Amino acid sequence: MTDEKNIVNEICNSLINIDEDIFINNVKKALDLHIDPAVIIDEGIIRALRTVGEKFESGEFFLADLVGAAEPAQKVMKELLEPELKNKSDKTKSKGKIVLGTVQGDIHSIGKNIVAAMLFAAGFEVINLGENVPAKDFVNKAKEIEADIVAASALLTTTLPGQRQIVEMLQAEGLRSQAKTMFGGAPCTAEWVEEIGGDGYAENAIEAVRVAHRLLGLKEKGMDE
Amino acid sequence: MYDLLSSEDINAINSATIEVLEKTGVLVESDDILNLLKRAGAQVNLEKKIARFPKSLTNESLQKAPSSFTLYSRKGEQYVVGGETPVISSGAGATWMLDLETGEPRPATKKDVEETSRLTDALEHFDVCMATAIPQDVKSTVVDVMAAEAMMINTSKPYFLAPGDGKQARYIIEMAAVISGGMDELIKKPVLLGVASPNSPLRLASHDLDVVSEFVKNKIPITILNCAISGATSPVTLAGTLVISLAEILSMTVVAELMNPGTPVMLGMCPACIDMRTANATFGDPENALVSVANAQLLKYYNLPSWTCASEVDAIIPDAQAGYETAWKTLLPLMAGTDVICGTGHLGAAAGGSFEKLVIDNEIIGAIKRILKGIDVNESTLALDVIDAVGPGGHFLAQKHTREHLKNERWFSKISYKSNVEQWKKERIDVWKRAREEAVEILRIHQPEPLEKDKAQKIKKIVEEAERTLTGPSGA
Repeated sequence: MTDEKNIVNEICNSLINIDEDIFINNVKKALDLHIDPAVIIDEGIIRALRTVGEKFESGEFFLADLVGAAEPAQKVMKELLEPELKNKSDKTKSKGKIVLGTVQGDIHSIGKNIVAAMLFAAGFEVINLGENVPAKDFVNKAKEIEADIVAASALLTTTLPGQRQIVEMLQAEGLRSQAKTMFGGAPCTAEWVEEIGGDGYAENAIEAVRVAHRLLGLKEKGMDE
Repeated sequence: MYDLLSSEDINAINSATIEVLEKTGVLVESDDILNLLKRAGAQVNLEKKIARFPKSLTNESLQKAPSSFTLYSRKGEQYVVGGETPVISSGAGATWMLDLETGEPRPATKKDVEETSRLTDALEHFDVCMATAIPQDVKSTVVDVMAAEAMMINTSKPYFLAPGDGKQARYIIEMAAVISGGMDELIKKPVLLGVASPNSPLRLASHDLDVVSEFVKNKIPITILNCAISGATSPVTLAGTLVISLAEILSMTVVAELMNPGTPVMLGMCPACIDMRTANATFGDPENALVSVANAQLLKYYNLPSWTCASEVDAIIPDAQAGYETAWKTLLPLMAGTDVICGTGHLGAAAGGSFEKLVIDNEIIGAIKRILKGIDVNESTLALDVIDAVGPGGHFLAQKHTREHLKNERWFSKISYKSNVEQWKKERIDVWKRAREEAVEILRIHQPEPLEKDKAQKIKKIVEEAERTLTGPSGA
């Protein structure tokens, strides 16, 4: 039992220190020792990300640390831990499922990727569809995984209408009551989101985390206080 | 001249850039252009859409571009880009404006573009006009066409326009041709300069390549301008940011010169950093000023005209922060010999526009022009005769020498406060208020050289056609 606790602690610490290679090795070691992946996630990864988030909030950590921890964590979850969870027909306890991407015709990725990393670090399950994503792909994915939130970014004035299409298509598919919508990007404003009938507007990645919590009626830990 | 980089630094950055173009390559999202590059000797992976540029292709293409070109105003005034004097433009791309009456940020409108163009027309230190704002009250698919119309009616100064796609670019070129009196005249004496941007890191998107193509096929000058966000879309090191930025703008220049050899191009960087606390892209940082300076030096090395987005600040209102950010971002690149600067009139990391900031930047640029003139040392300015005539204990105010040299030696401020504290107690005014008064007064009285009625009408028809063909049911 102490071995188990030790290795899970090491996972947590190596992620807080953003030692990517050591972190991945620790997770592999833990799986070899048949430690429950749900424990690795909860006690190792989620705990580490919470600490990283707190350090970011307090100003000790920078965005590069936050994204630097979230990206390898996301990779390890997807490649090493989730396949194991499925084997045991277990489920992760995420705060909610968010389908996210940049709208069709728009190839800007960085803002959306930061939002994805921060949402993930805050405990959401994030399905990043990438860039230049047609409205129907957002909607199909939302339907397939029963998403709680569909989030879309647009960086060009000319591609902004792609956000409206997503709302319209969700409505046409009868998914509007299941999935909340959340939008952002340089030309996007609160007024625009209201006009297209969206649920949430976030002017930056930090706000996106707040809005996601608000839309799902959740309380934030270590972000708002 | 401010030399930030040594010649060894410049050689190292150039070699690294050539290596990125040869080894890493650039994502080119157009099969036609990938094939064009392939025929010219680039190593092309059609499936992955990656083009790798051999050194010889890059160098030969850059040599085809002229080292300078001339822009024309509606009235026929000439502005040499890449000449002795820097060309000053207003900035572009704000989605919100600081309302002139209330001082509150609000969504930008087409009327704002009309009025900022008219203001730019009146401000004496601006040579060229960009659309300060992206109007939020018109259909988004014709937004640049609408902005172009607003500019063309309200200023006779040359037009810098950055269309979002090739379709709008075509209409805008058509409109400029009306002003010039035909496409041949427009090509001979361009009143229009296009702007197109690679997408960092190392990506040439199809809609940007379409814009390049529309300008280049008619040999209308175009600016190739990237906006790398250091730490996010480019390395956090400034040297690395310069390497990737150069690789991006040089690769797009190669494409332009292959499409139509000899097309006049200007290259530039709109430097940004990612703020590591807020995740915002920031424009007012000192690092951005350094990148702008290096940009000017590097483009001199390539013998091509240089552009930078100076004056763009992170401050939301025209306060002290706006002032110091503008000063270092504008003064340093101009001291380094940048050929064209824009970004003036902006707040809030280029997302905000302001009438007052245009007026303040006009003041700052006036002062910078004085700084650039330096200190003139000759027999007359050494003033030996007058020093001897006045002698110990006298004064120079009444001397002819003072009157004769005054206008050449001195910068005359328009809105800066120069009175003493007792006077200030009566007025209680700051530069924001002064700039507001100036902007309101200019907008009340200034009228631009009117565009001939038949030309205005033809432009209106083109705009209407653009609206018919480019607006879909889901337009914003």
